[in-house]
Amino acid sequence: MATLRIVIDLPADPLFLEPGADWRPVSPKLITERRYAVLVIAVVGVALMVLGVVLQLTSAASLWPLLGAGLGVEAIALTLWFVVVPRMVSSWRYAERAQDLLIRHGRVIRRLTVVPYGRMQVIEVSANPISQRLGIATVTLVTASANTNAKIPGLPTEVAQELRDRLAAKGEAMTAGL
Amino acid sequence: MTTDSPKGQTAGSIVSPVAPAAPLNADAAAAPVDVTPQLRRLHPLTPVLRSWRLLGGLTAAALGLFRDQVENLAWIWHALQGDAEFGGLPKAFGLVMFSLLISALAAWLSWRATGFAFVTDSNGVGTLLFHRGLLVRHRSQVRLKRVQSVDVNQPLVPRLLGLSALRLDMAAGEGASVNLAYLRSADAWHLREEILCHTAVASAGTAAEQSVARPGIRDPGAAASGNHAAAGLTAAVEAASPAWHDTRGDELVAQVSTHHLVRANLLDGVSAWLLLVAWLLGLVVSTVIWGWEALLGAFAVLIPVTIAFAAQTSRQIGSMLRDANFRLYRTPTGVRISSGLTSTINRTIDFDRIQGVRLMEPYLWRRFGWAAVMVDIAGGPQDEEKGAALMPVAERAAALELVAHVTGVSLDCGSYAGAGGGARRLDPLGWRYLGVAMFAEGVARRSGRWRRSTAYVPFQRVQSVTAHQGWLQRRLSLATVYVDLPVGAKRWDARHRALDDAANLVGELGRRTRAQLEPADEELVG
Repeated sequence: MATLRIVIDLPADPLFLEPGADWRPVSPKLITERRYAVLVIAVVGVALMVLGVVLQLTSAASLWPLLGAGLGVEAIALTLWFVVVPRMVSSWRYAERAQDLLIRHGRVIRRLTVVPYGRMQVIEVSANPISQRLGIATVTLVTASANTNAKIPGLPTEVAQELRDRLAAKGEAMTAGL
Repeated sequence: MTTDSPKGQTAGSIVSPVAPAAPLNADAAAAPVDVTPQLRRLHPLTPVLRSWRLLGGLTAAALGLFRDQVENLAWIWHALQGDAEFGGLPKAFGLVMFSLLISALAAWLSWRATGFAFVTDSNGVGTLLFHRGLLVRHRSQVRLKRVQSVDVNQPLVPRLLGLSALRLDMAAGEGASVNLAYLRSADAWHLREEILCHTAVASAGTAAEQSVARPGIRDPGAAASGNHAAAGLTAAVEAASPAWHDTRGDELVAQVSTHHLVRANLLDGVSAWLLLVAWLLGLVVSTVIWGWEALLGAFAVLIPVTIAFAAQTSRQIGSMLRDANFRLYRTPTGVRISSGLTSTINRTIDFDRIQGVRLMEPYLWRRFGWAAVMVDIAGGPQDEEKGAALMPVAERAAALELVAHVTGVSLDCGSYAGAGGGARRLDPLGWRYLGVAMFAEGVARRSGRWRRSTAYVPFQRVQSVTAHQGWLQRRLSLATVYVDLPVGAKRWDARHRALDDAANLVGELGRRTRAQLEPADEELVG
């Protein structure tokens, strides 16, 4: 399925979308990647419905409970596919500022992470097989804190590599120990 | 190897060195350090002390296998009468003996494979080599400069035998710690000093650099509040009695008397006891009113109540045993804690390792004006959610002075900004008590209606700042701001701040944290 260009604007927000910063979105290909998980759910739904039909044909079991459950699962999968996944993916933003990196995520539950470059210990670029095929990667910033959740998924591979190199250079210049 | 009479040795000759021909040294040549040092071994009693759990497990398994014979104890009587033969007994006994043999052998082999040594390179940088593992070999090289703390711990049984465990904590957390268990106590103390020499040299160097680079940062030795704090602490403290390790030259700053500790602990747990008493009273009353059926019904909840009772009792006894004989010493670079009734703990906390400080004031303590001080330490023990107690209980003023001594901040002097009315909907009881105050070098927050806690974090330790907004918070235009701290420290949180307030807080925290980083930047350039 061709990637749909879905751009949903984020509401203005003094805390989570600080005006003045150069906020950048992630690649829409992340929607495709996340939809693979939804596909699994959809397949489970279809399997439930098929099982219902088979059971009714082979025994006296009623068709409706399994068919209903399958339809419910399909409804959830459709909602995820067309509403939730695009909205969640389009809510990712990151901004490189002079001395720190901002990452925001989420619409219903919002999160903003501020990581000063001097606190970065490790910068990881990772890609699972699906994202490799799509040509996207995840950049993760590791600090000395286990609570820091600084992850930017769905960056085009070359953008991710450039970002990693820039961050590493900035981190090098500003690193301070514990 | 002198397994007998450990008392005969002097502190100078640390655990007997292994002969060069020992197999341990043969493959140690593969270690990156080209001069293979003689590895010292742990105390010969170590395998016995460390294998008792394995032994216990194996014995239990053996007894389980022959449960029938063991349960049917009547056969002993019959056997003694000559009516029956010892059928199951030899099997069970043999299995127990076999497991004993196996575990002793395994423990002995693993003891043989364990060794440690100190290496000092030409620059005077010390490294601890620690080899362990029989099947999977671990070779750790610990840079002594990186050691965050050196604790001497004595669990009950080793303590009776005059043995101690020496524990080195790294910034990387629990997994990177090295536990040299067990050494003779004198050796452990001797080693501790040897290690501290390396770390103290290192940290004294960095402290000097830091005070040059960042004049704003508190210099522990020169802190104006330092000596003052020591004087003020005597309010909560009794006259210092010379302890056996006082010879180390550390000055006793504070001490907690046993009756103070017991009272404080009972007061802290009193709500749990009140609930239990209420339950018992309810039981009696309902029996009187509705008769025995009510009693039977009440017994249905007996099991959870018993579990709660046991948990509460063990928690209180545990914390009292842990904090008994609590003494706080001042060392050149920080403080040292010594506490414990059955197992003793000796923990050195350098000022530059402190990630955060918390002042805890449970409801009933406030009536007596008491408070406890907790510290978070990089790579420190994470066994208790409370962190390490810097002071289990003291007068509030003394506790505040201790905080001032350790961080250079007097927590009561800040102007705490409240959370605002919006927070009332989400935290109807505690919202009035939420507050955030900025200090020159850190940030503090207050919270808690009943258990009031004031948490202080120096900007120097801030790793990242996170703002979080849940669905309800969004409806009310509120957000929670977290400060992410290094592993081992409790996450700092300012809950339910109004949106622009939270935005200001995030901006300010970011600015101050970067301001802490900039001098280091210049230092590198210059």
